[in-house]
Amino acid sequence: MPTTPDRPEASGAELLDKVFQERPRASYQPNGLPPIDESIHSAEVVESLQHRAMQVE
Amino acid sequence: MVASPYACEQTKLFENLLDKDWFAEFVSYQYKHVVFELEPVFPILSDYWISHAHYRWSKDIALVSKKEYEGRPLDHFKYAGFLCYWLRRCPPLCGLSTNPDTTFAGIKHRDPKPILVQYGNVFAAFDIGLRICRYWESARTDINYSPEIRQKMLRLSIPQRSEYIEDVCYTLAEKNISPHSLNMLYKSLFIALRP
Repeated sequence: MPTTPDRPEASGAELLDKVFQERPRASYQPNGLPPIDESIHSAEVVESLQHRAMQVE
Repeated sequence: MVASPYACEQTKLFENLLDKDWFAEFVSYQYKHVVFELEPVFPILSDYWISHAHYRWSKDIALVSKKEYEGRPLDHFKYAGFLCYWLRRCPPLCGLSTNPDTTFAGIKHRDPKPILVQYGNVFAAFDIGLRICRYWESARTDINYSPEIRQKMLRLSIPQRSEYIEDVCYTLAEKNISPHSLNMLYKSLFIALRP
């Protein structure tokens, strides 16, 4: 004998909401801006690089 | 050579770029004096689009910082990816004129680089981002790079006759590419050099 569901079926949108609510939050935490030390490179070297990085003919 | 205040290689770059006027001067310097350096043509830039690029870039930076970084500053690849993206979407380069600088007599007697004439804006956008990334990655202190690798990164360039340059320019000019894709693209150029 067929059983009658005791509650109306959820709509597609409601199901999607449920899936997203129950999905665990992503644990990915992007790294922020790393610290730099400008003294790692000499000023002369840095100044000599003020040109295009992509070389063209 | 004297270091320009609008060079990519400086510790306060991202703070400075948030200032609208500084951003405009930076873009102008980079297009006119770096990307089109020693070219017989000279870029004509649109103040309107530079202003718009700044508005969009700074808005995105604030949004992504809040949503993904819990309010912290983005990493340098993301900053550069968004900058390249918005310089591409809001193209500052609106025309080319004859280079008025006659310091180098040979300039006016040769043709401009075809790729700069065809794809000048996207070329500049990508090149600026690449130079930002190579400086920041090579000077970061949280990764124990050897001095040799730091020098290699700082001097990273894309060689002449590279299929990569044409692919990048064509893709940026003709296809859709997101700031997040550009972030990954920049990062992938350096990741193999990590210890």
